Amino acid sequence: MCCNRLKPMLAAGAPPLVEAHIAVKRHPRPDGTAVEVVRALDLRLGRGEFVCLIGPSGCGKTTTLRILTGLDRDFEGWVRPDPAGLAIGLVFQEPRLLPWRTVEENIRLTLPKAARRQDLAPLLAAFGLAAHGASYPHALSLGLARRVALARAVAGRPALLVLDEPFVSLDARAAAELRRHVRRAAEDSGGAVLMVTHDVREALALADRLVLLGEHPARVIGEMMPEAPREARTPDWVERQRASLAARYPMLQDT
Amino acid sequence: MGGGPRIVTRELWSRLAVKALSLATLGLAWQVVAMVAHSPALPPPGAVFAFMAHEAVGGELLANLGATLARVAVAFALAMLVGCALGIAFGRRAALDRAFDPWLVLLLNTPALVVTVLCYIWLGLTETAAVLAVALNKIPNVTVLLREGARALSPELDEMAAAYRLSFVDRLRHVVLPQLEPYVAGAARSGLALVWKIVLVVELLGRPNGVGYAISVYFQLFDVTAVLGYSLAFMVVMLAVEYLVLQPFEAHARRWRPTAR
Repeated sequence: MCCNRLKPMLAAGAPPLVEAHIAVKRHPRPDGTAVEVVRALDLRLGRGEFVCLIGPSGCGKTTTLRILTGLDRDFEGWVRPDPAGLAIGLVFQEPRLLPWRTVEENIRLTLPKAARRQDLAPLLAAFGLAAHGASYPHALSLGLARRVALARAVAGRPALLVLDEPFVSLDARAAAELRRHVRRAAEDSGGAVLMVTHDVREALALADRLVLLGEHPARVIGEMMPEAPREARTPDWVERQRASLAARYPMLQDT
Repeated sequence: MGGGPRIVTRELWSRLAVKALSLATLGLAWQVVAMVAHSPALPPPGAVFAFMAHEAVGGELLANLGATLARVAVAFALAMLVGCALGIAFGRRAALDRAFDPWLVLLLNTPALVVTVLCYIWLGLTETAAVLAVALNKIPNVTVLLREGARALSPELDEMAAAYRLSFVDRLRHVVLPQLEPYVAGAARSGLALVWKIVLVVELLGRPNGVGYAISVYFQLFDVTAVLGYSLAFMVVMLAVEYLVLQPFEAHARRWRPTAR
């Protein structure tokens, strides 16, 4: 249902939430030369759209995210509107919590001043963190810390939620649970989600649109919009879609 | 489970007992040497304590201690504030660091006496000159320590703070300063030790009160009992500051860390 509601917004030519054109992005090397990490990469994100960026590890996905969120401004190209003016919730590959602040303080700190005093109990409960609000991050397992990072990212109801492989190095059950949280948070907030992953199955299960990136340097090599509504994406369906994608894009073969 | 805290307490008591025994041995050795030497150059501990009690009740001991402590407090605060600000700036901006590092090295290697004498010459024999001289002696030290801390700041947390658009004040308070806390604590500790040694020299050279002034007066009278009495009183105060102010501050700063066993 929700996917059917969201898709037309992009198709109808409504202005995108954010749009980027990365002509070239280079990383300096210690010997003074530079290596091209991204070239001619165009990306559009509609309001409320859930997009997955898929590509092999180390292909420049994180760099693309950093540019899109305004953390990296040293590139040729543009991002519109300026991400500095966009409310963004960001989940990094590691939880990146402040170890000297409790779970609750970690979340509160990222909220705008006026919203800092709001009751966080419903949010903590929604992420299964009700018992951990006063804990310091060192007392949490990786799975719990990831949940805190996710709760922090959605707490301010950002227009754009950006996730950088938020489920790596979690066991299958914890990852599945966290995926449910992400999906629900996205549906509740109505904001757009951009998630980087190298797991095609995950992307097929969650996204409105998949963007495939090639490597060295990163560029868009294909896009795909799953037809089935999210509730209808059974493991069988995901597997069939993955096989057909892998047939078209050999680089996905081993994912 | 129930035995845990009791073991800790017992360990604490035995450690305290060792410390007390060690101090008592030192006092005893002092007493023995004083008796053997039987010279005005080394009075026995009893005489020194008697002087301290007498001077505290009817004499200038408390007033002099107060004057010195006030100078220590102001100079220490000034040195920490300026040193931390410079250290963070140098640690974060390589260009700034390259430009001013020679100044820092120069200041680090300027003898405390030279700084003090120059301050008195340029600013007169004033309170400002005295406090400034002490602070100037300490600032390069704090700067160097904090520069190390600022260089070690986590780029990951910095990026997190940028992604969530934290204000400058929030970044400083919640992201940067907690990471620098161990360095600040180290600078404070070594800083206090340095400041209270230098402050006495500064007082001796150009102030009409304070522990340093009193010691210089009694030195000229060759009153070793008084010199030792003043030193002991000052040491007691500084130890109290260490245990009642600095250590609780450090314990508070460490509260979020997993308890090491």
